[in-house]
Amino acid sequence: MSCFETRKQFANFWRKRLDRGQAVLITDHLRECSSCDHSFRAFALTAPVLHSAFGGYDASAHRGIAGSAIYKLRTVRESNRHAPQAGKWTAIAMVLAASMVAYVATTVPNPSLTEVLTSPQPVSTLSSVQDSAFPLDDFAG
Amino acid sequence: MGGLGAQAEITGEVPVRTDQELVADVRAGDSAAFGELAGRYRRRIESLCRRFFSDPELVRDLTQECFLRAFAGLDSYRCEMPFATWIRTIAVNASYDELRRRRRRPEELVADFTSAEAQWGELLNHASPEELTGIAEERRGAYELAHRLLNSLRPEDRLVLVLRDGEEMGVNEIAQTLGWSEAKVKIRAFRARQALRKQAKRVIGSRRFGFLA
Repeated sequence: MSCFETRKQFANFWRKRLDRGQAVLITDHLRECSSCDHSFRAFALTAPVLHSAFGGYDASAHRGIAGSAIYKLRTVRESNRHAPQAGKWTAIAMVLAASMVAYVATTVPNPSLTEVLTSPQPVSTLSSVQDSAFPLDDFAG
Repeated sequence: MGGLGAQAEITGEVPVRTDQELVADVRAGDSAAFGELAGRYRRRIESLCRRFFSDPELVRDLTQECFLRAFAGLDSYRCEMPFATWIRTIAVNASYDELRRRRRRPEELVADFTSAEAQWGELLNHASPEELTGIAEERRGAYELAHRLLNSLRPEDRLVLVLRDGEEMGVNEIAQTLGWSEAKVKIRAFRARQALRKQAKRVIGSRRFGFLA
């Protein structure tokens, strides 16, 4: 096999499309011809992406889960694995929401300035008004 | 006479619907039929995207985007064209858009090789050709190094190389897919190979890597 013929067959050799006899011819030539051997190794730099059957290394395939049924199973398992965590966050959110509701229900709201000024009640009965942005002293007689 | 339908009647199996029948069903409002179409082509589209990008998340997102684009644009699909060709064109365009969006970093070609890449480099230096073809797909480093090299190319160079070598498309087919002239495809492929050879020499000659020296 000539150098030209050998190099033309690199892609087929990489993709394992050659029959045993042809593959042997290639490997024999590569063993004897250092120039073609060097070319083949340079070819192998990009072959894992350009000449692989499925576009190259697939992490999921190398975990033994390439099959679609198993892949689906993994997806279900993964979603289940995340489920308790999601549940935990839901529980935390619910507790926070409940605390908020309890706080709002038990706390007397701060009256607004208008409410304070127009209220018929004595100023002293307006609880927590001291926390407002405008202290009552500013409006006291 | 009867073919697939008659055989299905005898065996009681549900006949396999063709792509065109599924497309017609989707157009008639059966969205689930699109799920079947997507199931048929998901792996093929993922493989194509994986030739452009090494990030599995990105590959998944792009694949999903392709099917979303296909679903949204199904009205523009002409049934004279095989569905496989149409969805591949969408994937090629989506990948090309993404390639152009990303900044090319040729300066990173020979900097900071990972240990996986270095191990693959060692193998490239010492393993026999049969061993290399046998183990490359199990080696993350092989894939990463190949992407590193391809990432240093211009987007259109990479596009042509992937379609010509990876997908083994003919010049005419690439020209039709990209809307380029055949002459442009040939010239671009020639320049892409030149550029790839130049970048491969940089990797091979890299002092840090030192393999094949």
